[in-house]
Amino acid sequence: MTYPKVLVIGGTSGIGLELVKQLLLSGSKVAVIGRNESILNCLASEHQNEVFPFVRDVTDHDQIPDYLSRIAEQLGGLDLVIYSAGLLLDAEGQQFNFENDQKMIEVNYLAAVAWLNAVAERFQAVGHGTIVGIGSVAGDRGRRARPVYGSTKAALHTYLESLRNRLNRHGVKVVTIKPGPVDTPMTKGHAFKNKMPVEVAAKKILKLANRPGEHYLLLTHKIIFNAIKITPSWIFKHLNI
Amino acid sequence: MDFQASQHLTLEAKSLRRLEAFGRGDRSDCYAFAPQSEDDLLEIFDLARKSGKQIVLRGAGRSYGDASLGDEMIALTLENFSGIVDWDHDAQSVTAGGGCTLLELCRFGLQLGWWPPVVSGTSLTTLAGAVAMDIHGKNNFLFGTFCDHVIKIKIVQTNGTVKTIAPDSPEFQAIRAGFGLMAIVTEVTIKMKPVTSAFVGVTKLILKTWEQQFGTFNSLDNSYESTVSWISSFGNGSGIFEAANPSEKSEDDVIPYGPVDQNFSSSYGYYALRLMLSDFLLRQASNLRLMQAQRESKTSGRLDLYSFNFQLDKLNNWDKAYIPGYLVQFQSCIPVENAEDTFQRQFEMCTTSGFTPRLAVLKRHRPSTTLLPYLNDGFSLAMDLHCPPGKEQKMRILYEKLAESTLAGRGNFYLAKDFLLTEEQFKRSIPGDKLGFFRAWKHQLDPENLLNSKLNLRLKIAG
Repeated sequence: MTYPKVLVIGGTSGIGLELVKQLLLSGSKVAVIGRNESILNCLASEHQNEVFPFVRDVTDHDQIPDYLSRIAEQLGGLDLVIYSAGLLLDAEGQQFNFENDQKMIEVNYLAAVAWLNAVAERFQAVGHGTIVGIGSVAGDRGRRARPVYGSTKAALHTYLESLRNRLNRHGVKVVTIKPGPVDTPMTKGHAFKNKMPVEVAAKKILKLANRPGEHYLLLTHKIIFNAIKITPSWIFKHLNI
Repeated sequence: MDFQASQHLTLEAKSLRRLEAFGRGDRSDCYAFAPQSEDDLLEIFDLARKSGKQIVLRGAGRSYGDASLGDEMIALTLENFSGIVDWDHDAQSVTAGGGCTLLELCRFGLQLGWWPPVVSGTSLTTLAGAVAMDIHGKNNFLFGTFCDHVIKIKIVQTNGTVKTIAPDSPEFQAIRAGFGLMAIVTEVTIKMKPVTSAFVGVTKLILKTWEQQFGTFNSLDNSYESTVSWISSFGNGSGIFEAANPSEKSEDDVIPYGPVDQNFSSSYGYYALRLMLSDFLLRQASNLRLMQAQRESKTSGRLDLYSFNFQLDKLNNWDKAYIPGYLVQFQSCIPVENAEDTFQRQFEMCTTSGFTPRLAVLKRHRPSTTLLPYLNDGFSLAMDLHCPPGKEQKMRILYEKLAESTLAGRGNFYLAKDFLLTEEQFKRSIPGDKLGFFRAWKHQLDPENLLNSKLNLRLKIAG
């Protein structure tokens, strides 16, 4: 067991839920924050004294440090925190929808900052811990499709990079994961090709959690998306991606 | 002290510190505070009550196991309760703060021609820790434990009561070897032992078998004040037996200052020790040491009190030699009639499990008079075992076997060293209703159960 005490923020659906399951299999004690009470209760009853459920909307920023302290108290400490809450709301075609954009900014970025700031302060003080943030390949460039989803992930990547540079000297690891399309409820109904099974994605994420830095989940993604990153803007704007 | 405690008495993330067991086998994140006064202690008790947190007493963090750890608890260090408070020439006694280390006490005492009657193998423990674990040394069979020489202690109870108690008080008997679960010891007054010099005369003998080891200890008849045997890694009981008595003063004597002049070689000597974690090198080193000692045997040498009593303190950071991985020290005390067989078996168990003891120390004891017994009329063998990464489960299995063999030999465990014993095994080592008495005292002295530790949570000592 690499991580005895883990907190998964946004762990009742998709990648987060799968991470919880795999962490439990490896023997970790896992605290899970999520909105879906029935899933949390189900996890807690199936894994008594191993899962600690916390029903809460991640965008509720009230008293986060105290809340985090209560979670750590129940777990008996914290070794790994994974921020996997994410929202993808499509604006079809060329439409714009500020209401949806605001929700995405709140979940994908603002809430991440609110929770991970508190986690970072704790880890910095004890000189130990790992933070994993689930970003996206969509955050690498400003694409035509989903401009706000992509930019929230770009902001998250930069925020995590800052945390990594700040906390590295205190013995804290910060890891950014940039998955491509993964087969989860979030991507259901979206026309993504070659979705990665969520079990495979979660397994790869846990394997990479020990390596500070930014990581793609596939070598092909690493090659393709690095190529996209260095593509000049005057070419990129003509590409249909 | 092993951590920089926060001076602000608030439960904020910035007050958190990661604390490790001395053996590095366990750790806890704690809200660490260094109270400045008894009023601060009362404030911390209130903070614990309001937040629902418990308090663990850290001492100097020299317990090998989890006695000074507590996940998410408030950890207290008494570094601001250190120093010598008073001394009495006529009574030959010294009063010092609970956070004062044995080293400070020794240094002060030697200036007056005194030495603590009982010291542990390290000088870096605090006096409060020495009381909480009722430490013992190489002269236990003759001088008993540390608390046998304490004249009085000042305590702060979690209900706010501050009082001074003497050994004839029943509370004292609960607090000595009370694992820091009863009250906070802020001051200790101890009767010191006059010494004619700062040196001891040491006789060394090379012993080749377990039979010789026990035969030598039994034949001495208290003719030496301190005895100890350093058992080699060969497993046949061979080792260097040392017996010491106070030495007369010589004209050339300079009062030593103890293990502080950490020069380069001693500070980094643990790198050399790391090499010895391979069985082959360890055996060669033991061989060389025995050969060297053989040349010295049958001649009595002189050693200063620090060098004789605190041999490992001279090697700064020696515990780092066990990285990667951690150090497990298993120490049990077995009655005379079963000791030889039990220790021989325990040594074999370690070797056949792949955990050859890096160092083993054999000592003679008399029964402890603590509420929960941990020493008896017998011998103790402390074995230093290296647990490399990935071998944790194997170590647990070995530890369980060692504990069972201790119980079969009607022995006791020394909990200052432990972090792997099970609750069930611990209970079996305590006769009669002694655990019930201990719990009744815990209820009386700390009814709100504010003082706790990982050791107590694991073994349910206080219920």
